[in-house]
Amino acid sequence: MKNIIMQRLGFAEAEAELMAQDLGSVCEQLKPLVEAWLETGAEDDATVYHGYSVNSLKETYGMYFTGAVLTLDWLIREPEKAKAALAMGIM
Amino acid sequence: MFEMEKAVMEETKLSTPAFADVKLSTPAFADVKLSTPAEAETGIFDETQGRMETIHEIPEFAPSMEVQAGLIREEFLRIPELQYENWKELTVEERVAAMNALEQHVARIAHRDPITVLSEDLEYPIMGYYNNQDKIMVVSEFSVGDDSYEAYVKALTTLFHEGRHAYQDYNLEVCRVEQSDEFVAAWAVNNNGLGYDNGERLIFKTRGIMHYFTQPVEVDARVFAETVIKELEL
Repeated sequence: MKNIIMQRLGFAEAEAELMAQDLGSVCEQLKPLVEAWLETGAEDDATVYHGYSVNSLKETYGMYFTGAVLTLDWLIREPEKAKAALAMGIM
Repeated sequence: MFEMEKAVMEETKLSTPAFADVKLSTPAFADVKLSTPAEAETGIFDETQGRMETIHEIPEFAPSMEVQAGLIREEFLRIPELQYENWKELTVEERVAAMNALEQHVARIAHRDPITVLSEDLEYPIMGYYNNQDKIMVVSEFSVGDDSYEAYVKALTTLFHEGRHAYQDYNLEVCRVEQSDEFVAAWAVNNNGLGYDNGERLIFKTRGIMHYFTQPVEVDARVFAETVIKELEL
């Protein structure tokens, strides 16, 4: 996974290692998304979790697939905190 | 949200190896490390304890977050344009001028150099940003250009948030004025170790909102802004 991340996102090895750990730890509902991305590079999904999907996070927030999946993971684990953070915006 | 922020600051133990041993704490008075034998003492009412608490302030350092908030409130009240009943009648340019006036005081209170406040039409969800190279902060027209009370509070929150980023960078790059060794160490690891901003603000895009949100510099800036807003009773 680390090498795929380095290749696709241009990350340095250390950053890719961290990203791989994060993606490898996502909750069960999101694992198929990560696996499909690793296999085929698929980055679209409209499944909604607490009001957000991969597609909506990519479109509204400009997130990459990885950022969207990790954000969905937080939404699933701690929905109130994650929704509050998203509502706050970026400063 | 404020209590949640304080809880995040208390509990955050970031997952990356660089942060493994950094545990942030709220800017409680007991955490201030005293480096000189003689220090000024000031009192502040602690609502959670229901009594006066003594703060040991070190004169050559900036005041604690709570003391800064109180001092900022005094200056805020002296700028009529910043009171909502007047603010809502101002043009965007006049609002930005008022924010610049307050920034001069916020910087002086924090023992840092002031920066210029600008407003731009930023793409959502960017509400504002601090540019260390140009020594400016930008507040989105999304808030500054809106007449609602909610947008007014958002604009001021952004002002204090970005100003705190300027304070963090000032401590790391110009002069150490923050009392807490722990805070400065966390900011150093955040900015210099992991690289908070690679120039394109990609961290929330590539690693998601949680990694952005729980960075020490972001938690600190949010808690500071919320402390000031609470002090202003907005």
